[in-house]
Amino acid sequence: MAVRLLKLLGSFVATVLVSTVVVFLLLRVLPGDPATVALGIEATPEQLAAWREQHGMNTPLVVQYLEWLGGLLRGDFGVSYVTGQNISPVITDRLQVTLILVGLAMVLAIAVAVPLGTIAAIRHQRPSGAVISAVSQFGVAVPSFLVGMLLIVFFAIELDWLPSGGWVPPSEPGEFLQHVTLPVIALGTVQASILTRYVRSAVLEIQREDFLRTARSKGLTANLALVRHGLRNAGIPVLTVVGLQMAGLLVGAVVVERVFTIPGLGSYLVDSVGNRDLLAVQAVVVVLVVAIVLINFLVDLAFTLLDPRLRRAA
Amino acid sequence: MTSTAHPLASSVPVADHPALEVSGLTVATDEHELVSNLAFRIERGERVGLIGESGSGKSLTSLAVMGLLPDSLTATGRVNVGGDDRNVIGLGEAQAAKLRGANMAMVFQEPMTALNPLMRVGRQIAESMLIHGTQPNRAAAERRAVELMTDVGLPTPAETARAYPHQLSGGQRQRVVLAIALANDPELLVCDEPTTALDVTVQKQVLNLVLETVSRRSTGLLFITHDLAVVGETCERVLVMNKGVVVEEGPIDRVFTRPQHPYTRGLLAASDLDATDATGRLFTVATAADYVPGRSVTRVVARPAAPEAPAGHPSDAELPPLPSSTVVRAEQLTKQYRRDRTSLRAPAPTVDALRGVSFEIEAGQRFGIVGESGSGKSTLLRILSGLDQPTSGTIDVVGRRLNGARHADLAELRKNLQIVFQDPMASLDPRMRIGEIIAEPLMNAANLQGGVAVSRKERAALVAEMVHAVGLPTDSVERFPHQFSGGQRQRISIARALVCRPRILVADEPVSALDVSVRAQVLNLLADLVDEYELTLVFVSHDLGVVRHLCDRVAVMQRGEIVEQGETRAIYENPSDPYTRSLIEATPTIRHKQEQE
Repeated sequence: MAVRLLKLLGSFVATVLVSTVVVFLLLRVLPGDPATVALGIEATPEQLAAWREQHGMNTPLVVQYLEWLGGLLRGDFGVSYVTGQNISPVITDRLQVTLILVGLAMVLAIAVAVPLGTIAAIRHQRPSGAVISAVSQFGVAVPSFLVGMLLIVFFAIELDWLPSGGWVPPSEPGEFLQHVTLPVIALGTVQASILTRYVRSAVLEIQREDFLRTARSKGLTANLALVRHGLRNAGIPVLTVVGLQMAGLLVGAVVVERVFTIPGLGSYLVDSVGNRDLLAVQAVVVVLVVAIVLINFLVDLAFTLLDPRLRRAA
Repeated sequence: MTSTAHPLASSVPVADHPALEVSGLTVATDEHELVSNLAFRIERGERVGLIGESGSGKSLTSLAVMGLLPDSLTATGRVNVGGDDRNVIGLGEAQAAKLRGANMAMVFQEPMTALNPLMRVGRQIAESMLIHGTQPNRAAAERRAVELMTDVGLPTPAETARAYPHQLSGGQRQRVVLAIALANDPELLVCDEPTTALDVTVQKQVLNLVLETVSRRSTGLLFITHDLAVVGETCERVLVMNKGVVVEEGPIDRVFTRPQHPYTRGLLAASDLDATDATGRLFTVATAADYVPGRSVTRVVARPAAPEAPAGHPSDAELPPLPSSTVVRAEQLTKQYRRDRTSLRAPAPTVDALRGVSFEIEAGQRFGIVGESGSGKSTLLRILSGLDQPTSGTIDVVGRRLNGARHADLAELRKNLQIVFQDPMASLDPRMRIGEIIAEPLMNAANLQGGVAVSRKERAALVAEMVHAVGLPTDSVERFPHQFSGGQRQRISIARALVCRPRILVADEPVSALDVSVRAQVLNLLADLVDEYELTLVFVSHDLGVVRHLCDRVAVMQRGEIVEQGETRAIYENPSDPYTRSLIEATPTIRHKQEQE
């Protein structure tokens, strides 16, 4: 167990370090001079040189990287060349918004997909199972921003039940819930559709396992055997998919953030790319990498807890 | 499951409480009847065997009795268990579940997959009692589980109860499954091939355990198997099933010595590896008419020219004593595997798969390697066929050193040495035509450079010749693997191995996945081809009977060592190593039963 944890932790640190190097170099290789971007095309060569000197751009790349990395470790992402804003507080705010959105959407997706997928598998030869399959297939095909727009048209414009956009932090629970409901549904339904299909195939697979037959021969009914012995086993492959979905949503949420005008991390990334705000882009990408590696780490950890075969020396 | 009660069944008396009463049982798909009008009865404490080959309907019968048939099948008829007057057939899932695990219980074939991998085994046993309320609470049930684990002979039951299935061996897992089955003291125990996946010595222990428990508790036993020898050692009465119908029924002694039905005679003949027909070949179902149970026409190892050489070098007599006649020489082979580290302090554990194995195989010999799982025979085979390198020691095959062999050397090796694998279902690429599969070894670089079968036409001719030689129809080359039965696929594997005319044929458990009658055919074919193509045969098996029939020399392996090797007959008749002796004693044979008569 301890060995496995250390291995997981080691690969976590290594992945993050390597990715900071890649992100740093990639943005240096891209065409476009940050000094020109910051000062405008009419700046004189002297002004540009002074700016570079001031922002430490004349030092060797290694030094620049190490200074930036040192900042990262202290939670300091630097000051944007473009807006002059301190980046760290912006990222903190934006990340919080996106995490809430993604977290709630995944909770919704799991809450819908696990029962529906299981029912679809148990009744795969009956009409109800086929209907669930067909609906989830359809759900996979519909993009989440379209779901978002339709939700706005019905619930915000026609019925006027909920606001059409904007964001209120959870410190004001009533307003927060009103604002968060539609975007979470828009994000969650698509993920729920995808997940339903995976749950269905995982449960179908598990139903063929010998140990379910053993469970039935002990005196459990087919359904009870599935609930008591099957679902936890089926959860192992499903967990992988949940991890991938969460990672995808962190950035993918941007389309829904745009529809509902929510200030999330994805929106910040898109804006920063548009503004050629090099440091901000660098910061967001590193945060995303860390978040995704962290999700994978947690998924691996959950595997270890779920499956005794992975903790050999427990 | 849509079902109707058998019209005659309502009058069946249940007063005298047999363990199992089956009447008019029919199982069918929409198109075919798979089990037809089956009727039998098992008294309490009686042990009844149900034997048949794959597709005979024996496993469906067991599932029908347990109320576990898949929804796609329809069952009619009557099944009563343990004096309960409810008919299992047509009983709803909730009602049937109340009978399962209480009145009747089942042990399955594959212990490796029969237990929930995420649950401690003690809890899996306890669950059985909690479902039926035979223990008041979890703590009591888990205490009882430990007692049951003691009963089924599991070592350190209290600790083992806290183990997960993957921490136990196959034999131990089967004991756990048996403990689950016995938890509520059922009146009927159904065993479906419970020992087929186990090593012979473990099989013997598990069979003894089953026997001892059913007689102590007077449980009725329905024992399903394809292995007549196992039935002979386990049951009092036997039902022989073929194509969904019971063709013969009676006490073991009578059926094994005076079979009435030709199919029973055929099964017995094909299972009897000591008996051969006038030409020295094994009987098959088709040639069984001449078979006399309990008497062998020739009791020697079946070979036209059985060598009468001094023990130790049986092939000297028939081969010219050339120095080049040794085709395989292994000296002090060892192989260590390193496992993943499991602890921070201790170094990564190593496994000694081979610990100094030495042997020589002469050209033309039939060399058997016998051993149980974990004996190192698979590792040895991988090294012999150039798929793996030894840690130390040397191995030479047809004059080539395999240690550190490069690609070109291995290509040359594969020209000389070909393998037939164990599982005919998995060892053929399902998307290739048979013709392509058989021709593939010809594309080996060493063959192409040597100018053998370079053109497509030459290859097709060689393939056609091999297809004929292994007894497959000519049009097989155009077809795909799934269109063939297990026995036919093994013929395809043999054709593939022989098409480039190797000098050595390595067969890794080639018949262990086959039905007995098919097994006899494939063994006969192998023996014929070995003679015809003047092959050296290396035959790896856990089945001593098969090795005894086919091989003239044998090496017995245990824990990475050869504990004994020599002339087959000498070793079987007079084993010097205690392990060899225990293997021979543990192997069930139908002769045992026949000779008691």
